[in-house]
Amino acid sequence: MDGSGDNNGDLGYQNRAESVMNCPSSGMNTNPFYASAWDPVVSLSRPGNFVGSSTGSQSEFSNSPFPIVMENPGISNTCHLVRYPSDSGFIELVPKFPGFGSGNFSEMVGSLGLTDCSQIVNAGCPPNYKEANNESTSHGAQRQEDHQLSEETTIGALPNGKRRRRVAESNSPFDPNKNAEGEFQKYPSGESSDSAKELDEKKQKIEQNRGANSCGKQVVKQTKDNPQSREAPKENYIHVRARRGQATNSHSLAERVRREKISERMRMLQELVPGCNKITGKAVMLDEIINYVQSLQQQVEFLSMKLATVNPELYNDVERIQSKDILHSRGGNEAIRGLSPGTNSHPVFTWDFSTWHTSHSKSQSTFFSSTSCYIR
Amino acid sequence: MRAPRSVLKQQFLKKWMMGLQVFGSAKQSMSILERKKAIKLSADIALASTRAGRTCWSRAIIADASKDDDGKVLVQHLLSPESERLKKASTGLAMENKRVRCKKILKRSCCIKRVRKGASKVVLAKSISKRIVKRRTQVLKSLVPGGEFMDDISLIEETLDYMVSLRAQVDVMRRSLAKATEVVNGK
Repeated sequence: MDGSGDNNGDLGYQNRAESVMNCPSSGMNTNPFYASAWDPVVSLSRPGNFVGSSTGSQSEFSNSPFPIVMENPGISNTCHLVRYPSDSGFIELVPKFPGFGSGNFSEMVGSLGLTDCSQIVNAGCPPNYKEANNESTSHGAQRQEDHQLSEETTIGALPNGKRRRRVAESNSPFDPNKNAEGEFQKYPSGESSDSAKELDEKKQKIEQNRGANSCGKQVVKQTKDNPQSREAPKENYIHVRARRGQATNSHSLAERVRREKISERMRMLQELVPGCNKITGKAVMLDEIINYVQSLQQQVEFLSMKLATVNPELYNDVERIQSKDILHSRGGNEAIRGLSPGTNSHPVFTWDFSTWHTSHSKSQSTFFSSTSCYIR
Repeated sequence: MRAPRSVLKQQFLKKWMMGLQVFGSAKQSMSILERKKAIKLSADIALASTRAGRTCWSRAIIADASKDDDGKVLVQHLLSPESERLKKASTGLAMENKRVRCKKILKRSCCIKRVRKGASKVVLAKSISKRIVKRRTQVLKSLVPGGEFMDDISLIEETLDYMVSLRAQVDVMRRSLAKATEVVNGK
């Protein structure tokens, strides 16, 4: 191993390239993004290569035993950051390369680290409404496109109504400037808003860079719904291009991203709240959501009151029977319902309302009839 | 989508029953209101524990519940392995919320928007609708537990998750009530 102490912050790319080739394995973890990070250094003409994916480079380097061995304390720290991604890990990656000359390069490397991290981070996302698989298939998709230098931005990948914005650039001649832009790719998003905010700030800086380098208005934005895009990793760090005729101000870009995020999530909510399919517009939608949540909470109160009136002597037996029966019958009932999630709540309520009406007094049934009117 | 929802319900039911057993024999001596509170409390905590720590509203519920004795016992019982971590998370949440609240008060006192007189109708309508939306988000924040300290985007996500869990809770409670009344009537 070469003396790696001087590598940290050293701008001698050539030296490092040599050390890359010469160093045997030293037992460090494979750092695919480091490996691929050197590609553009060595061959500036193929920026798309390492954009391709960390997995791609993983396969590439898995054969050779640890070709890239850096024993820099700085880099080893970032290795740890990759392996045990925390939210701070995203942000710390970039400052770890202070010595590298162009800001472009640090961003490039940062981007790779982020893609790697994201895969692991996303495993922890709440499962119930996130169906996106953060698998290497997304990277596979990216590899296919890296030749075209297409940028993809996913905005809040969601189970329904997922959208992908692909910014397809024509193969523009490579400049060192363009390299930075071409290499940006989607970063899977964790669910933490903290890192999202910090990265948004970073992104704004980069956006300004980009705006300076190229005319933001040239780019054509395409929106596609792909089955492939469903498996795309979520982004923590969204790259947005200004559309033709729109302001390239970083503030308005950020505003637009935020608005789109909000509208995506409102759409998801629309599917959950019954009877809101025809509603467009935040205000009315919010109203419905508020009413629905309030009614659900009131139902909980009411039900707990009813349960409290059950004769306590029987309660223990009842508990046991309930748990057994409900757990067993759950499978059957779910099958009987046989509904798509969107229309789920309607029959649930009506079915139970019938039992309510038969077995209970009028005062109670009025409560539910009122809610059923709301639910429609 | 059916599978995860029934899993959620089963988890909730299990934890709810566990929580109810904590009250155990004391149930007979309690008044109806107290019983109702106990049932609701254990249901809420059970619901929050199914999303243990991952969502903001569940942490808020647990934090609130840990403030008084009954809740504390329940929390410890239901969340025994993770209670340590969750308690820390909840207390950390309280501190962060105070910070957020102070910042918001500062912000609001500084910038007061004034609508220009004679502004065009479109602008006026926009500002009105913005105000309506703001007011309604305030209401929503008051509804969702722990919602006052979130920004818009995460508020909507939390609402989503909260709604799903609430629906499951209502479902389970209603079915158990039906079963209970069946048993009672049968006997």
